[in-house]
Amino acid sequence: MANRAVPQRPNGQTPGKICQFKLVLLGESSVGKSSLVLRFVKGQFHEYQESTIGAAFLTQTIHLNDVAVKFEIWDTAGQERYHSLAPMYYRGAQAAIVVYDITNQDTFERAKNWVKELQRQATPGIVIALAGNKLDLNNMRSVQTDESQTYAYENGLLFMETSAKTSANVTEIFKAIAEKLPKNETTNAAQQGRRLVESEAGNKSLSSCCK
Amino acid sequence: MRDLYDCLVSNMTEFAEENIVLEGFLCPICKVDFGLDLKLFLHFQEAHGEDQDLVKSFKELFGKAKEKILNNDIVKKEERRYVWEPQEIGEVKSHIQHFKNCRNKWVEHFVMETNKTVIRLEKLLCNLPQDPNKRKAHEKTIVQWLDGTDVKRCPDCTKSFNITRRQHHCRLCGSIVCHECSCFLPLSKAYETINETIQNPMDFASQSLPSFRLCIHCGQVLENREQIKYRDQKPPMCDYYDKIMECKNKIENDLLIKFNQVYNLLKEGELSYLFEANKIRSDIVKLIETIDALSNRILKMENNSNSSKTTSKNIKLAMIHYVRSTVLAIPALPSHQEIEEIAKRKREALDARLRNGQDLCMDKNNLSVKNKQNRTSKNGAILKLEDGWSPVTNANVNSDNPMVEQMNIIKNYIKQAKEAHRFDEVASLERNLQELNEEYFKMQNNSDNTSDY
Repeated sequence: MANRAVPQRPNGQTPGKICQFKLVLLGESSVGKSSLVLRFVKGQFHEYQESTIGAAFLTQTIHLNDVAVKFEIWDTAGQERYHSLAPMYYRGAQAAIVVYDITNQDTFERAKNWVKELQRQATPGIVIALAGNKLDLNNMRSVQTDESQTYAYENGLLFMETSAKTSANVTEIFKAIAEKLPKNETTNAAQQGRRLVESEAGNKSLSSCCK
Repeated sequence: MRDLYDCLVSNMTEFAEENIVLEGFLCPICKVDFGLDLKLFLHFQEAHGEDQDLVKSFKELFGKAKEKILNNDIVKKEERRYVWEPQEIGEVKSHIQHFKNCRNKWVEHFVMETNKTVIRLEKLLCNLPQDPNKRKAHEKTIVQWLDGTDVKRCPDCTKSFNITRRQHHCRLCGSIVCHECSCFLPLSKAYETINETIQNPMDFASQSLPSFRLCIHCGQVLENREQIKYRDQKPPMCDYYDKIMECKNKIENDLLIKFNQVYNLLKEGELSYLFEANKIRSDIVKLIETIDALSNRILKMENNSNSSKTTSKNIKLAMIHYVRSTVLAIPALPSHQEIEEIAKRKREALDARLRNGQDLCMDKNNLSVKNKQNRTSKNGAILKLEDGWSPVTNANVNSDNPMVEQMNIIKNYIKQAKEAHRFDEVASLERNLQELNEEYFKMQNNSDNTSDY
């Protein structure tokens, strides 16, 4: 256990609060899920990003004040073929980003369906963020900000319009999610092992459900 | 005489008081020695009779009363110095109704008088003969002239009539006044008063007396009527001024706002708004020209009174000032080239920012590497990104079943995570692989079952 913990500690400093969250990206294919997450994790952008097979796995830690928030990001494939995999990834997730393309109204409708599915079947209390990607193509916009803003407000979603290309709002949306996620019952992964995170997440959701 | 005597007596008494012992026929009141008893008796009868006592006692009473009143006055004066406590308002009665009644009576009276006067004037003007003698007869048939034989003085100034001060008849009421107490109503004005245009001005010009003599009362009635007519009438410059204000409002509340919006867009490099901006600008200029023309027209208008002259001058000055300030406030539009340059600069800045954004991320990575080396450095920033980790997906994982595909991917990921000593990630991925296995197993079972049935 102790061996495991060492490389994971951020910058080797004394382990403060480390919160680990499972985050899943959902959305129609080619709306920019992988680009968004690649921008967040690696700070890179590829103009011709290959389409994802299955679900890609990435991790990134952000430091919010004294708390280190580690995201385990599951970047699912948007293609219809892989949709059967999606429930496995959003099932235990504490956060989800539903991405659509602001230049394509259909992707927004698909995003709404994803939100519905999450609200029905994902962990109760899951933090859902709606991301309107490709903000750099603002002049070709077909989904108005007001429309999605209202939709997000009505459904209690975080909402931002992002651009993986210009990196506008990319870090911000993850930061907003990290701020919204509950951090009080998080564990020090180094001491208590990983599994507790999930079980506690389950507890948390139960309690919020009963209230 | 009596006063003198009293005075003498009082002096004597004073003297008597000084010489304490007095003898003889002394009056018991005034202590004067009369020498003989008869004299004393007479004196007493005369000077100190009962009436005298009464008078004295009255005098005393008056004196006391006087004193009291004086004292009271003093007390009142003292009382006035006190501040009165606020008093409750007693009964209140509105006199407005009474005032209105009185006023209505007066108004009615004047309206009646005016109407009568005007009607008489109308009759007088109807079929007015041109010949002076005939005219006089005509005037007399309409309004009965007062017989002048009994009128010795002018009823207005009470000056007596004589050869130099002749009697004159008011053509509207027939009363007699002197020349000084009368006025003349020109015919043109008379027609104006009864709202009739002069049919043939030449006829009147040829007349010797183109006016009516009126007493000052009738003259006043007509003049009042004219004034009331003009009171409700707006001076003609008002129309022009309203038009000016309309233009001004349109400039301020509509065009200038639009212009500023478009101007700002142009400054942002939006070339497509140039045409619109020019149009708005020309609209504003047109309106300003209109304002200028209207204010000129006001200035050139015929103004009778001094006050309206100054008003029109002031309007003109204000408009000159307004036009100047508005014209100066409208900024010159940037040229076609300038806008293109702005747009170009903006594009370059955007590109630079894009590149910088990537660089910044690189810097961040470098920074965190440095932080790793420098173990003591603290994590003070509010938001800091670490270098994330992502395994590479191999292309040759293809399978018919996406689940199998994913399992292959995860197996590959686990290998990479182990190599990178990312044991946390390894654990997560292993757990996922297990879930996938279970899911796959379930799926296989289901398909087996369905195929069995």
